[in-house]
Amino acid sequence: MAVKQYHEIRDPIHNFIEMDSDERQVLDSEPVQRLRHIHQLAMSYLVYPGATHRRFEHSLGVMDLAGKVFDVVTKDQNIHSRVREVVPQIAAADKRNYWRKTLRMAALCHDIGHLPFSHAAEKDLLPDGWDHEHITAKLIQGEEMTEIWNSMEPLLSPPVVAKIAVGPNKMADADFSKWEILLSEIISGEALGVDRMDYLLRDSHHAGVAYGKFDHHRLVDTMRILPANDETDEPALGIERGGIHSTEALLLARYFMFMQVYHHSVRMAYDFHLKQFLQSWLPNGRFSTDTNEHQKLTDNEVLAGILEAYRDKSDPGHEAAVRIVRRKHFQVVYTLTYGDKHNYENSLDVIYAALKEKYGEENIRKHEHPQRKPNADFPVLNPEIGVESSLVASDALNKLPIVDVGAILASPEIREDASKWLRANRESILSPTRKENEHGDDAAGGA
Amino acid sequence: METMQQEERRGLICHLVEEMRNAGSWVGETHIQKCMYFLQNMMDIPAGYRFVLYKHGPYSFDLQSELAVMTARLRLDWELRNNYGPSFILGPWGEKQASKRATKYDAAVEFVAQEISVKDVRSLERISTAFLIRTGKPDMETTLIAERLHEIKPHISKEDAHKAVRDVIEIQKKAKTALA
Repeated sequence: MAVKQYHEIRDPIHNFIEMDSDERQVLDSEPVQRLRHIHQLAMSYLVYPGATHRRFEHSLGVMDLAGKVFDVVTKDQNIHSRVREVVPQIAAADKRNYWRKTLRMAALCHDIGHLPFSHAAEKDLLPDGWDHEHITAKLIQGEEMTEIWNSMEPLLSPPVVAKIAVGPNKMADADFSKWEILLSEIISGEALGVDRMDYLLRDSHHAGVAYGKFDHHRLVDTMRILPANDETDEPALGIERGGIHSTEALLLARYFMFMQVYHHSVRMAYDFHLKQFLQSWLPNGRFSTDTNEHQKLTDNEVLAGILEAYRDKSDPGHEAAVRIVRRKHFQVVYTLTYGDKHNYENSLDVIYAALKEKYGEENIRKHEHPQRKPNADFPVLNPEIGVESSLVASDALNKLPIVDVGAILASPEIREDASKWLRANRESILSPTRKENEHGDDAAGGA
Repeated sequence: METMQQEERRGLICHLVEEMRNAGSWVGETHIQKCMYFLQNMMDIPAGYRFVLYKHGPYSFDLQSELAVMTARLRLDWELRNNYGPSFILGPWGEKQASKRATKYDAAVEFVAQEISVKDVRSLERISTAFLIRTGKPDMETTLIAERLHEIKPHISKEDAHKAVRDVIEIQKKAKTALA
């Protein structure tokens, strides 16, 4: 009987995901299999019980979408004449299979460096200069994966797979060709990357919220590589005019999902408690960047540690474990609003300092997440005009709100008192930072 | 040299945006990126951004992120001026933020605004990449710098690459005089 060369995996978002035997080999490697034990949304399942999905299925989804985008943007009729000159690889038939394969492998591996519970404690518990992308790049170029890349036809280059998986921001010392930058954009591009497309659709599906949905079929069909604008030939990932409304829906989905799911205040509280637990539980209170150590640690080991610490009052992680297991999490006492941002300078920091002084540092936490990437500005191919900025092509994208989440949380033991105290003292705390208006009065002053 | 603190660094950016606008610059993200690259690497202002060679030459993802955060926190804003995309302006807290800068860098900011920020994106790409190649190699022959520039960015013709190298040397000389 012939050996099966193509495989299909059922998926709730993409229905069937097809893969060849080389991809199957990568899927079965230890670093990729480990992702079966890393929750995509950390402890969000304590807020949205359905959100128990893992990085494993997300990685499959990203691979599937990356392959589809590659097929669309390299289709002869979709290649822009100016791009064909600047990036000849886009039309090179003899290398097509190599680049498609490299892109799909990079997409499949793009998250293998994730720590337990994904982003929840990454920023504070890795050494300076490290993040999960650096570990991803190290694993892709490590012994186990290199052996797999070397067994393939065509042979894949570990550094090239790593570059496309993590992008130029995370491999500062590597030289990227224009084509490699574009391929990495297909995965992690700010506006149109397939990583985001998959996580919005998947997270929305599992959390049971509708905010993350958009017409990704239409969007993928209209994606093109275009000159960034008329002033330059530098190519960028963009869309043909017909995809503008599905792109608007994608970027609004991102806004709503960040505001309502990813930065839900209770999830943020669990991130604080998880971090506190890990500081007491990990050797030296830090994650290791050694890839062998990294492989041994998943959400399963951490959850077992939390339960053990919960049952043992003498365990240094006991308090944090109780907060997680018994849901005695910190709660919101202040939420940053646009009005406060506009009227007061640094209202979040000022209120945080006042509450800490009144109730002690151990009872108060600050969470903030101002948007760290600019709003979408990508090229749009308008048949009547040529290439234009997405901000010109779409009024909705032009007015897209900016994600800016800020909140102060207090321990449940003092939360009620802290809320009352803040209501009574809010004005006196904030007034020294009030913005003066153009007449020299304060913003709340009379006409 | 100690890297400047966040508030001071954001003050520097707000002041730079003001000066660029006064000089008649487009004040797109690429313009701010290249001006900051020269401020940090030619004028030795310790802003602490990490630059990598990217689409239009040296580019800092840290600075990209800082601009986004400053927009979210109303220090910066943007407006559309034609089909090319956003042009930065100060936000409601921009002027106050600018007042937190270290004024000892004002002359350098003014120089960069006058000499660099008014160039178009193509010129900015050429001169900043030429300067990147030359950095740390003051004795490197200009022909070699131009050849390397053409090699890294094949869409820049050899003639334009040579001109970019001459331009960047000239800018460096002017900067020395202006900031002496």
